[in-house]
Amino acid sequence: MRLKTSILFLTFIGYILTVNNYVFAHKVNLFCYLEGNVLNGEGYYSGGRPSRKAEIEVYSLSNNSLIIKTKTDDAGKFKVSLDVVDSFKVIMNAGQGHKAEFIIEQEKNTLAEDVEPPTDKRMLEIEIDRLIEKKTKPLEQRIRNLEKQQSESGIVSIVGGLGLITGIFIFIYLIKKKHAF
Amino acid sequence: MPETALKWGSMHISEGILSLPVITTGYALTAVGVGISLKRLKDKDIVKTAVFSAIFFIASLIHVPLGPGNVHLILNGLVGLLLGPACFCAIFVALLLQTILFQFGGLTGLGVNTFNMAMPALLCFFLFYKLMERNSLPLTLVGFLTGFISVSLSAFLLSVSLILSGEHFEASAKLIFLAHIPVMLIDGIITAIVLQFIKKVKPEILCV
Repeated sequence: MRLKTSILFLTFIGYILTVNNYVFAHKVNLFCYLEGNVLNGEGYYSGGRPSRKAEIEVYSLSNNSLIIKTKTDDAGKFKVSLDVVDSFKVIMNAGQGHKAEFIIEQEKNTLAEDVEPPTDKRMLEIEIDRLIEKKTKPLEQRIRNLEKQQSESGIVSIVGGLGLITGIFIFIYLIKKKHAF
Repeated sequence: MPETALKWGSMHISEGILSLPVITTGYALTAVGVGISLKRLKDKDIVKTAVFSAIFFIASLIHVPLGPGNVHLILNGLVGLLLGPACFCAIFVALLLQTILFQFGGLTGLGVNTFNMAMPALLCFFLFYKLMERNSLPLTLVGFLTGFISVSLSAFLLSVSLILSGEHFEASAKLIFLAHIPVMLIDGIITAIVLQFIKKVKPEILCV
């Protein structure tokens, strides 16, 4: 009786751990960057599989209004022209509850072309540093996301591994019971 | 020791290191060990074997920075002492999942890796189980010796596997022993602590 209870308990734990692992394994990610006025983006699942034909919506961060709607292609990528100088949020809906979002923060008037370039060497250096920082910010965010994902997948693999150990030993129990060896 | 062969303080042999005869012999010996282990595994011991397989699986994932690299716990001695012959089955399952989920070692070396870990564990069972049962030696000493000897023998078997795979691994094989001395001591201490803890909270686990 006690053994049966233990086996039932193990089955339950194994089921929970394995299902948990499966859910995490399908987490969807979104990465976007601005190239002039063009917004480029890519959606992918954990493991790198592209999220095809996923709905993309771009919202303004200041008044939460919908700016543009599009879809990812077969490679999970998309490209749209934007005439906004405001910060905005990109939301990807890959179906079955898989959602991801990416925020691009912009300083106002960054697209203005009538600004005089600084003539002072020191000011020019500061301006260049600011522009480089602005360009590399999305990449930094992506690296942070990847690091977070990597550490998460380590934990997920451990949890999944424990679930599989449970499953394998339940299988051994059932086989031994059937053949009684 | 080449970085590609082994990580400092780790006992997982990567793909492409071992020669075919060593791989085949490793799988044959492991198959015999796992076969006997499964045949002798009683229903009432399955849950305990699963728990110790999980402990072995987790222990190898906890890396402690030490010297030029990092070391991880092995605890094969503890698994062997408390499971007996069933340790082959527990260690094989844990190593198989480590290989698949974390790419620790390769599938070709799985047989050799399992034998290198499980055989010393089983030897520790035959050496120390009776002594522990009869209280002939203090439990702390039994724990320390089990942890220390099992890791020493595993390191020795690992060195032998490398030497048998090619003469160019001789220097690496000799360094393995030195690299594993901290692991032997840490495993000995942890095994002793765990046995004392089990004796206090659930002494029936100490009986195979």
